[in-house]
Amino acid sequence: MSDQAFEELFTQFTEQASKQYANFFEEILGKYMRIPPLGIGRETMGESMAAAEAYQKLALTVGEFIRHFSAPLTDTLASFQELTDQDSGQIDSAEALYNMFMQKLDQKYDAYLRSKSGVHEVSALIDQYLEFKQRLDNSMAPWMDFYNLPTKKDMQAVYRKLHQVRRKNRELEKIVQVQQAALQSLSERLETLEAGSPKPKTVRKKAAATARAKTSKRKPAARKKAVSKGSRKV
Amino acid sequence: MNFDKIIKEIEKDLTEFPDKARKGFDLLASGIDYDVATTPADIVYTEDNLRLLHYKPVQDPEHLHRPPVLIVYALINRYIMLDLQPGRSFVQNLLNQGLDVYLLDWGRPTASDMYLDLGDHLNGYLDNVVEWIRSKTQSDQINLMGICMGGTFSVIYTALHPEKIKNLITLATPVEFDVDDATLFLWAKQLDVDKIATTLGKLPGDLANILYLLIVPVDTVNKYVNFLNGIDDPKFVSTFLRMEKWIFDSPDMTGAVFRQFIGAIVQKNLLIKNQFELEGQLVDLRKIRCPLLNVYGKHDYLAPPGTSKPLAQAVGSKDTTTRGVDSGHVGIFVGSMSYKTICPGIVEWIKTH
Repeated sequence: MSDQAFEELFTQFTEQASKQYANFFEEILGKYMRIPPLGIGRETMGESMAAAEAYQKLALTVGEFIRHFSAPLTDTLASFQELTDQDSGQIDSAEALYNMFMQKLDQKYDAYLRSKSGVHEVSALIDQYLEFKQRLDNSMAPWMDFYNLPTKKDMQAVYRKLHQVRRKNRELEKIVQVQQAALQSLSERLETLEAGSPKPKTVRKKAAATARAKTSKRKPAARKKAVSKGSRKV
Repeated sequence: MNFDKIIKEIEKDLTEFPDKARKGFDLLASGIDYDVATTPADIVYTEDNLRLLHYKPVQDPEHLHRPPVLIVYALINRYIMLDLQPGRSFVQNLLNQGLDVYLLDWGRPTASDMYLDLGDHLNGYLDNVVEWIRSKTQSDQINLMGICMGGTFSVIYTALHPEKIKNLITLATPVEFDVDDATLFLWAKQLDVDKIATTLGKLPGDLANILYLLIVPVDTVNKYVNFLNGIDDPKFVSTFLRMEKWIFDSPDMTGAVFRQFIGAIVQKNLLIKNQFELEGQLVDLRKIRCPLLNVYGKHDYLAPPGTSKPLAQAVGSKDTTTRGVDSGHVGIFVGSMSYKTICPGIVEWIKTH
């Protein structure tokens, strides 16, 4: 068998193999997985079957992705002989040969990964993974509930509340900061006013009363001495 | 093509490789130093997972250039790339040239942080950090330097709080997402962001890493081939291990931020159109009137030039400088060109504005 014939056969095999498995799953295995469950555990059973189906689809998607992702590599290898034939003497070492091959390969992958099909393949893979993850989480939730373990929904409810508290705390902190700044400003203004203006009458009378009270608390000997010396202190 | 010569070279390489590999493994097992982020810094402020680092100035505090610089890194990967190793550290270079440098480390979100959105990050955490720095350094305004996604955050923050920012410096910062040559954004536009946010609660760091590697599959493989080539060179191996540490150190991104950033900013491209709203406030880039320095890598495949260059036309500032440098995404911060040319150029711009 020639190289080209072998390559064509291999490509057909890989293409057909994934298509055949997809058909087998859809027509035979998938049909049984989608049989409506019955009984008290029907919901749990339904979620488990859906997770198993999502896993199968993920495996198929990964297979398709790998098949398409390897296309630039096989293309570059196939055209490598042609590239070396076209060489005009620039490739004079193993390193130069390797670098040339890697450069061509890089260009092919760059073009593929930016192409519509490349972008679609990547997003389809991520999408199918998320589908499987969702189904898996849904199938595990009843069991966690059964064993009194917090489920994902329970924890998300807690996290949501926590976030609300944090947000409220942030708002309150801002309000407090504004209030503190306003208080600081008022306090400074008050100090300025107090420093500039004379003391009012009521303040003078109070000061005098305070001074009298201090004098009356003196010891009798001291008071007599103060009086005899003609002290004017009141 | 001289096939005989090529085959002889391959034979020689294969013969020498076992000895090289043995030396390499001995080197790897010898306790080789590949510590990262070793420039001395104090943690001066913390809030939830966030830490604010203040790098210890190398010059006399009296002679430091004021106001200080706050570096805002992305939520993807970690800031350690800016301080990869002594002698090749972007942060160290800024310090050596007399800047007073703060860095915001967003930390590692956990599942409980899944509802923290862009508003919490920018109007909450980032604003608190800016206020803290303004208060401690008694500066009315600060210099804000944003890197990659951190640059996009810095742009949004400056548009919302222009009075607090003296100069805005954006490095490898994407703002325009309707481009054809950015593979990452082409993929992002096809993602079901609500499904990711709801199912996973976050963008897992590992998933993000896989996507980055998938963008350049040939470089990913070539990297390890080159590693085998230089496995017996201690300097090369040390640098390689440091980069590996940074590349695969990816915190998760909260689901709420992912939904907003990818949904509104990348998929609908609302930011550059002045249609993006944050917590009910319109983000109008024309309100950015402070001087802007926008640096992009000409060979950046993550944030290609077409995603960064439009920023200068979008802002309201009359003093804008756009610089394209001959490097990739990481080359702006790591490597001899960064150390000798790019970083000094950035510092000179800051000092003259």
